[in-house]
Amino acid sequence: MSASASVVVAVAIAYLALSLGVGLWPSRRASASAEGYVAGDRSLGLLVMYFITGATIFSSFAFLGAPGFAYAKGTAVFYILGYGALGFVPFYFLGPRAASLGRAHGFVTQADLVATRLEHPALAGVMALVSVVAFVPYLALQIRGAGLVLEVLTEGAVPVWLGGLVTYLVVLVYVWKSGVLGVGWTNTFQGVFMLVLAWGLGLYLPERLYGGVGPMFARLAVERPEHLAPPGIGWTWGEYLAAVVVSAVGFSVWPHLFMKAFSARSDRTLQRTVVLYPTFQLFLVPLTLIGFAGVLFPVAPAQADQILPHMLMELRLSPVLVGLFCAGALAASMSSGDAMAHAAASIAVRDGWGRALGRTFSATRERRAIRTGVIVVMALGYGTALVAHYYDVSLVVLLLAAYGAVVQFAPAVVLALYRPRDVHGRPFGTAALAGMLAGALTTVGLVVFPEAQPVTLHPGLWGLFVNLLVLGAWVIRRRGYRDSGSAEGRHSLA
Amino acid sequence: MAPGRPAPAAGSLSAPLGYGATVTRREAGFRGYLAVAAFGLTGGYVGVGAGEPIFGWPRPLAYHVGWVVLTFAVLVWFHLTEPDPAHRDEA
Repeated sequence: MSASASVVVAVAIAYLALSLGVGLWPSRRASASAEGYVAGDRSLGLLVMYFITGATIFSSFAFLGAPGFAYAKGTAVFYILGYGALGFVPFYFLGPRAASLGRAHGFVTQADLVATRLEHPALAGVMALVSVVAFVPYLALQIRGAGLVLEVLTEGAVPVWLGGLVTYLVVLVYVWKSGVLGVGWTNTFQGVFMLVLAWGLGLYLPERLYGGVGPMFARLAVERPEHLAPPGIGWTWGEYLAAVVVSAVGFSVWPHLFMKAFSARSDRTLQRTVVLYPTFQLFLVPLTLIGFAGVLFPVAPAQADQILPHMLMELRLSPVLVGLFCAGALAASMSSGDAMAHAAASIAVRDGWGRALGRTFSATRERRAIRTGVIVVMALGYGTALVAHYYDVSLVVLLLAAYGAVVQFAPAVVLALYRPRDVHGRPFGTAALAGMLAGALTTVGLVVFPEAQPVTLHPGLWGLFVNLLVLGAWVIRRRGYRDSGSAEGRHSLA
Repeated sequence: MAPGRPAPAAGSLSAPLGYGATVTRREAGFRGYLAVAAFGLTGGYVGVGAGEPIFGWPRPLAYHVGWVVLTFAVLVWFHLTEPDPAHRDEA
């Protein structure tokens, strides 16, 4: 191993050790119950809630995908700022309502709330299945991202399988031991680290390469104007709009984020988290600057997603700086991967195994089962990451289908929170389930056969149309049946 | 409105919009902003690319950063002007 690779490895190990310490520190603060492990005894304050939502959303994609997207597709990358600005706003209203119901009925997961309020246990099973299927490729992307960064920055001395394994063993230990409190405090530490690093690199690279951000864009406007023209290279307006809408709808219903409504100390804490959330978007701005800085870089990377590590290596920067970037990329990967593993295990055990399959647990057994679930989910994610890496399987297609499928939860969540029963007092469970299934199947079908779309949009958006159509048709049909039934009743009485 | 609370003064942010609506002026303003912002961040993006940079930044970037900052400001206003959070309806 070269001297510079050794420095990078040393910085990465120091960072992982620090993360482990921060993650293990709160392990004794939560109760031994499942509620303590999954929802932190509903005790999280504003600082942790702010970073847990922000850092969870900014995954490996932030440090690798966002600069790569700007590098390859130009202004299309701003769709991320578009959905991020508004996407969390519905949670200002949904969050406190969910939290209030959680406190009253002991809910700690989204599926738990929806299935109970809409009185259909199958909803818990379907939502648990879709959530876990959605989380595994997402988690695999994070593990692969961590492995790739370490491999590139150590010039191959640390292979993908080893980098991903070591990083996620650290995650496994603190999630297993500390539950959501470990996730929350490491996300706070990692979030601060990422913010500082992103702004540092985002200003430093344009300054070093072009003399500043303004001169960089002036040169781009002359030499590569297509990178500055909306809606971006290779995107139509329809695709841009659909990406913003689907991502914004998905924001408030992703199970691992929604669950945080049950972890907050108070409704005001939740609302303040939403109010402050747009400031986290400003963290993405420097990362897009890095991508634009790469457009005129003399040597092209092998893949667009590698533009940032590629530039760092080509510029022969100090190994300590490269090591710090490596730690930042690991932070981005870990801060999303930990929340997903924790949420997937909680949902699989509590909603899938417990509620849908009718298994009852004591509090201690449930906590133990969820901890075992964390190990299983991590193993599945690691296996998927290795298969995807060594057989060159695209996880993005799986992720697209998963994201589109999760968006189908939105109508059921809104009904469960605001209108669980119709005017006759009957729950909307069957209608919501039918809509959810129809929407999810439509999404998966259009991901596999994209040419079947009448207009090219995000498949999840078509799924949401179908979902709402089926839900509406079901409700109208039942209302008609009820009305005609009442009319017949009146006739027979007459 | 929760029992025992005084009626909001006419013309205040907490007063109903009027014309039979129960929505307050504050809520109507917030919903209106969200509708405009949703349009601005999707369809309203058309035509932003042309023209001189703003503070050296290309217009699409300045436009999006502007929306983020404006949304933050509106959320702060909406949160701080909430009449009495203790009286919000419980689910």
